[in-house]
Amino acid sequence: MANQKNGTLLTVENLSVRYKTRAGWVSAIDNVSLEIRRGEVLGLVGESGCGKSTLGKALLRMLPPSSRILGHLWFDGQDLMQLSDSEMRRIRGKRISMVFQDPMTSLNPVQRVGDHIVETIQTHEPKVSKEEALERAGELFDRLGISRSRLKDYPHQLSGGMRQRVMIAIALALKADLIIADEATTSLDVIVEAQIIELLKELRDEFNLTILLITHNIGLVAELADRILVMYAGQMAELSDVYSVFKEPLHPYTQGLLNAVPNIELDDTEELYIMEGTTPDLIEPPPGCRFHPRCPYAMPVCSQLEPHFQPARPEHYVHCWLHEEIPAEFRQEVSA
Amino acid sequence: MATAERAIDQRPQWQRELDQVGLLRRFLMARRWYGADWWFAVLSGILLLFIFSLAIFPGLYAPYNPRAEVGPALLAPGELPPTFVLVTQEGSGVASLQDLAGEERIRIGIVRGSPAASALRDAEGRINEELREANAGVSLRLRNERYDTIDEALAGLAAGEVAVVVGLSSEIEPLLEQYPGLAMSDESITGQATRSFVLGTNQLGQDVLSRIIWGTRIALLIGFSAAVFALAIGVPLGLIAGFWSGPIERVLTLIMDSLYSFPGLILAIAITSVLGPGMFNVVIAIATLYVPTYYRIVRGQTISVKEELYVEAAESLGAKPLSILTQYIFPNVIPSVVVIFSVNVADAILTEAGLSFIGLGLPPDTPDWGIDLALGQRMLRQAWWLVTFPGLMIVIVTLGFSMLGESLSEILNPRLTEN
Amino acid sequence: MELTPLTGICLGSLGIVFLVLVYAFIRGSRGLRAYIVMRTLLTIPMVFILVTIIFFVMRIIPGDPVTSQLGPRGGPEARERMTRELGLDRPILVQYVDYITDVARLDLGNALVFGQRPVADELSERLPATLELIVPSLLFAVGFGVLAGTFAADHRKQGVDYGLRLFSITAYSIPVFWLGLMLQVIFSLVLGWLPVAGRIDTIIGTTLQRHTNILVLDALITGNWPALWSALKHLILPTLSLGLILTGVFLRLSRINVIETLVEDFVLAARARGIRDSVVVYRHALFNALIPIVTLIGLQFSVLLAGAVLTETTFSWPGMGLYLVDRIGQRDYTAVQGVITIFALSVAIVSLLTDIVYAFLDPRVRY
Repeated sequence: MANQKNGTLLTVENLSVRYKTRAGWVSAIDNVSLEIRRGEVLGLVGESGCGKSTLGKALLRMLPPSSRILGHLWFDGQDLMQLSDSEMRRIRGKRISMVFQDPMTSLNPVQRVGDHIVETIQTHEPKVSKEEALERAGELFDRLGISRSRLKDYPHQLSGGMRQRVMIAIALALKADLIIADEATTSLDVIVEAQIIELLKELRDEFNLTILLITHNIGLVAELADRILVMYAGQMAELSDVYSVFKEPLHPYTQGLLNAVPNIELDDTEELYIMEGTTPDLIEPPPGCRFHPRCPYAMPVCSQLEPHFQPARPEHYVHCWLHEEIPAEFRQEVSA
Repeated sequence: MATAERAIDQRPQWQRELDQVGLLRRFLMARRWYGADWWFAVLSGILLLFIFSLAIFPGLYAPYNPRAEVGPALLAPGELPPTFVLVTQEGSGVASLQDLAGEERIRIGIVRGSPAASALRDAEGRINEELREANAGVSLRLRNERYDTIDEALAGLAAGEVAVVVGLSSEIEPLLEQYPGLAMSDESITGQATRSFVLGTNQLGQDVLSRIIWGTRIALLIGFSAAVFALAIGVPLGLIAGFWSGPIERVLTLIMDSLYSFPGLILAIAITSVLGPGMFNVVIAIATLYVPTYYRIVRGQTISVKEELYVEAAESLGAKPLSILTQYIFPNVIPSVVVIFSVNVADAILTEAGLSFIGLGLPPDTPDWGIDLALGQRMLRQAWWLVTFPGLMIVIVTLGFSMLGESLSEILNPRLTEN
Repeated sequence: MELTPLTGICLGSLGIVFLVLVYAFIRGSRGLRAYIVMRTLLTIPMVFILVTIIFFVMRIIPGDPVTSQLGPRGGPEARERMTRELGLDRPILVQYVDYITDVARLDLGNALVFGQRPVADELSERLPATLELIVPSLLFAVGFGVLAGTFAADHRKQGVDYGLRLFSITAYSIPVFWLGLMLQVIFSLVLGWLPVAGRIDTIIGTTLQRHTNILVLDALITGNWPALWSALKHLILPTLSLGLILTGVFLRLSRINVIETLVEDFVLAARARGIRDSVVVYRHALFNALIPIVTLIGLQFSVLLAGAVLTETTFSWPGMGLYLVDRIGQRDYTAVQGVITIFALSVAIVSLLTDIVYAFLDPRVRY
């Protein structure tokens, strides 16, 4: 059993997820291990298809039935993988909750927004009366800056930003230990997005929330996260605290991501950085390091052997031969 | 000229390619794509082919003439008809009717009104035919003595008034004890093993199986004719209405919508009750019901195809309206029309059966399922099989067309992606 | 306009429709109000067209009511008299206008046979029977269909799902009168559990005081338990045969709707909040899927009426459907025309009502 350090909320241990498609088995997550500590915001970054959404869903065990999952999810002393369906259901919403990407489609169009919260409360705390639940919902709305009169409105009557606040309210309804925000701001325009980020910062400080922030927007992570995990092709690429990653990105992919952020001070001669290549095929992933076809620093060993995810600096982990000792047989001959 | 026309073919790539792949290959490739629906379509297709063969060659399958009285009335499926046996004085040496053939007339006792009379007549005719062919020189001549009950007939036999008595074995057996000098023959007077009817007979002595096989022809004839008529009127109207909208088209659409919402059967009842009985009138009535369906669907599709980009592109290149209709709109409309047609035939058969059941439409002696059901209803207590089998036939045939329509609909317009 | 029960029911239902319209109007958004106005206005030309079609079908198409009624026996005087009585000697247009105005007043003329009573009266007597048949049948079809469809959607791709899908296609392929006959054979003749035909046991029927003429209701009101029991027993088979046929369509529609709903994001989100699976499927998914069912009820109403005609014939159920069939046999064109007109009107009204209710229920349209 993994060490349960004080302050660790969730330990993911050797998690692998595959699912079957018509064309074959897709390896969506390959051997991911990480810890989420109490009170921190862990940013999970990567491009579409890198497995970050799958990871979020895996933590709630909400993957489609055609998937195969290996590994352990240690949460508060229990392995979530061993729980029965009804036990897992009791955890969802109460101990771990999720904020989804598109609040328009994630809310039931024929259910009032207040009732979403009331239903959640009453499902997990059946003794609570409807009035009490409604009062708690009202308090949440107050805190999130939504007028209480909106409790009886339907989702389509609210603006996008308000809907997202409702989603956050639902996630906070039972004071969950871990909140997973899956692309929570992607569907919002930048101004509203900024407001939501401010709100999340306040809530984090006020309620000492633990958040797993899944996004492809690295700028967002910079604002909010304490640590960053960069994922590529279902594997972990780089993991460290925010400052270290931004100051000294070790993995070529992370460097590419940071370079790709358009710089507002771009002058006429500089061009937008474009990373070469496309996302890899997860049914037949490239051998060795999965990033090697796109990597500007690729070496012979990269296409043959997978590197290990290990600390190149203190508390700064990387999955790259550039920062790991290459085995003797692959070392390049240094030509004179 | 030719280059201009070719340039105007703006149809999407897949449509042009589909033209080039052979029909058989498309058919076989479809199996991998469509799974269960492909099987459904194929199975219902095979079923329908069988049904078609029933309709086109009913004589091959039906053992009897559907309008002929071929057996006793109300015989249960598989039940043997009652046998008629000979009763003679013991020691007379007469074992069967043939033994009675000779120079003189034989007096024979039967019960008044008994079906034995007709059975006897048949047997007499048959035996005399055989004797003539064998040049035997003798013939069977019978003179019927009629008694009121079988008991009196047996008494008459014992008294020598008649040479032989013919009657139901089930009636004679229990009475024989009282007449020690009389003996009952082993075989029935027909001499051969008596036949039973697979599905029984109705109250007119007609074979149920033959009737329902012949009924297939009527049902399909009416169903198809009605569907074809409805198609011939509804599709062109729908195309025109979809293409050229205007005040006339709006009124027409309103009329069609009103007709569509009205209960079909009741409209058909109204039309047939006024037109009178007859197959043609039934076809017209049912066709009228379905014209609005074709109209609506075709019009709707025409309108949506007309708004597609590639049609606009063609128009901007100067394609004529007629060629747009035939090249672009028509091919897109065909799949839906095929599906509707299939469902139409199924529905037409049901409607026709309903009309016949009520007594409207077809002349009462037609071997039609609906009529059989109406006749069978009167004898429901006594003869359950008169109602069960014609109805079962309706279900099977209708199911065949419905399934075909359903699976074709899934194949041609896939609705859901099954994840 | 006389106050016959038929008139009463028509006005009553129009009143209900009016109330629904007003309610929806008040509580609805601008979009809904516009829709209500348009849809109601649309009903008028539709009814007009239907009634016109009926008129032309009954008069223009070859077939002479007088000859059919009197037969070859009728001498020229009798013919003349009858033609004048029926107003058939006047120009077609005049007849048409008269007909329209008569229908507006719900004066459906007098029947040609059996004492020549006003058709409206005869229909009023038979309307409750038809209602007593179609309402439970519809409720059964919707209830059973929606639940079974949801169940099938929940157990997708399993044996039960395929079985139910096959059932729904088969249900539509069975002639309703055949199903009725088969049920009669099995449950009445073979098992003897239920009566074969009729609405109530004749002897018990005489003890029942009629108020609404809906026997089950009357028995409840007057506390006549043997009558209630008898009426219910007689109701089972007809309701079952008519209801089962309609179940198929509702099953199919709800199955598809629930399947489509179950893959939507909000269902995933609900599961992520720990909501129980049964609640997710049978409350959230089903409710979302219910709304299109309302429209389907409107569409299926015509099928319901057609089925009622056949079912009443099968079970000797003295409703408007049996009236239609009987009077056709009697060549009573006035009566036939009257029944068909009433059917057309009811279809138009039900269709209007379901469209309005649908628009009202869907909150996306309502606000």
